[in-house]
Amino acid sequence: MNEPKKKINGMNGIAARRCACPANETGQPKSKLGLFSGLLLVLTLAFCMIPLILMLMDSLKSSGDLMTLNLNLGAPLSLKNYASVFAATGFLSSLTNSVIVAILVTALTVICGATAAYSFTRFTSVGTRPLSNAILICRMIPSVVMGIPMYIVGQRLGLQDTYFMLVIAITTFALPFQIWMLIGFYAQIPKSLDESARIDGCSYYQAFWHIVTPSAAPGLSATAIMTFFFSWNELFFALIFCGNRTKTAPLTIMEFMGYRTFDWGAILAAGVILMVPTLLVGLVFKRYMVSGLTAGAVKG
Amino acid sequence: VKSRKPASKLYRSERYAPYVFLAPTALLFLMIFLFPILFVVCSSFVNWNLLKPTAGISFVGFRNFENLLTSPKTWMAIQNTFVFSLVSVPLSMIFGMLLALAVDKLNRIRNSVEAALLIPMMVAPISIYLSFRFMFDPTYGIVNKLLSLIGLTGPGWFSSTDTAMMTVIIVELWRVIPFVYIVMYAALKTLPNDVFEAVRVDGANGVQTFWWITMPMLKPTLLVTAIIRLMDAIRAFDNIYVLTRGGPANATKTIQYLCYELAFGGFSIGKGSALAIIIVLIILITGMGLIRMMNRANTELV
Repeated sequence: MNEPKKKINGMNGIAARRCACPANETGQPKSKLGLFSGLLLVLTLAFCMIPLILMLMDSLKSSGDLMTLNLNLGAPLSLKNYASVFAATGFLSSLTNSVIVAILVTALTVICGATAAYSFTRFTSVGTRPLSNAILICRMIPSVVMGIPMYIVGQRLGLQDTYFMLVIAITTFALPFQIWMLIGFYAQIPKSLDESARIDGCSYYQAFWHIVTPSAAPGLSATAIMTFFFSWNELFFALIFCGNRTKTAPLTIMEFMGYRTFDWGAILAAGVILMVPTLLVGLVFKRYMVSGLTAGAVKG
Repeated sequence: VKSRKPASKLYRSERYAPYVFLAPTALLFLMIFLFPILFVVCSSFVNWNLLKPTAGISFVGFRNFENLLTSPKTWMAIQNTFVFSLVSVPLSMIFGMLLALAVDKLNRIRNSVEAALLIPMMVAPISIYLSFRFMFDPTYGIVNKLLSLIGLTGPGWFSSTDTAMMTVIIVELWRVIPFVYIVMYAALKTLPNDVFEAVRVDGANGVQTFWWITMPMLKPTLLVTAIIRLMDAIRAFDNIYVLTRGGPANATKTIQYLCYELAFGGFSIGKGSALAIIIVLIILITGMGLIRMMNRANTELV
């Protein structure tokens, strides 16, 4: 799964095969990028990039320049929208709330996920397939099913508008998928590794902590990144549980478009700000992100 | 623990190890699974509105389900959800797969294309929904401005009942085509090399190789990805909330959104729970069928 980007020997993968032996490929269809594939690539790349570039450009223009009937390409660019977004009441605190919630959810999920995956891959005799099917079914439960009871309980216990409620709600929803991913990663760690540790006198807890967890670090990182993204983008539970105190960034942005006319310049600037943290995490941990995205679906 | 070791001190202290490791998850699972499902099942049979606290909670039998299933609004939402899922999932699978094959053929610029296609997965979907909402704005959006340059009058996109669902699907494709591509591309890289050597020696062309060799080997991955995508599509909420709020005239209202409206807009817990049960049933029926298909594909391959 976590294979390095460039493979030197062409043992696995058709991509690597061509790099390894470009000389003896004479007139093979796959060596040429056909007209169709080329067109598809250009169009998809444009489709993927244009909304992002437009958003970045438009966020630098004033709303007055944006709300015109012509294209207005020469509109002056400035950072005024960003200044007004940061000056808006509650925006900075909602960013902080989002960071706190995302980190807490990630920590909780990694702890529960790692112990569960260890247990599922080491102790159960049923095998991982029925188990991962069960978890896959858990993942299908729509969030309203959890939202309604949790809302009632939160209201009765006075837990509305607390980090606790939001973190628990997002964790319970994120956990099945993260366990599903982690089972894949933990199953790849050879059992002989912790068996030999056991023979050397380790307890299960020691084997888990000192032997298996360090080997599972790439998988845990991948899971952690996915969870961070998930809770950063979470909207449903935030809508239900957040009050003024714990309001997360997506909610504040939605409020920008709440009343009267839309201040599109500010809305787009806020959108760009919301993209930054996950973009940074994604670019720094690109490799883990790819393995996180593909985990569970691709048997590495 | 199955091993039959003598009851040493170490063994005794470790007898509960499996349960200790499972405890945090088991606790959370009770919270997500048993408690909420039992709660929702029970509350689907009562009349309970949080806005009318004096009315209290009264048992009404199947009346919530009856009301929902006879209401055209529910059927509209079910239809919208199916249109959204059955158009966006196959299209994203096809384009994602083709994209993976195309990127795999690149040589020099492959790394930069790979990096560019990862970016959509790194940005917050909500930001992108906002960007699309402005792009498709009927008067100020760039799409209609460009169309008017070539003398066409653009449609209302999100604000017209005819085009709203289509526009929501376009936005969904933006978000999921890169995801399908990443998964399929990773799966493509794990395929064994010698099979491709063999068919090349046998003189198969590109299309034949894809149809008879690549596709069957990718089938398990394709199915898992399709299941994940379908489940997420049936539960679509965020995109609807940010892009259209279910409008115009319920044209994009999905079941999950309708359920949110019932339970947290009107605070009618009974009706919301009943609809939640209906959603779970729809998801389970579709999901089980696909999972059975996936398991069969896995067995064939092994």
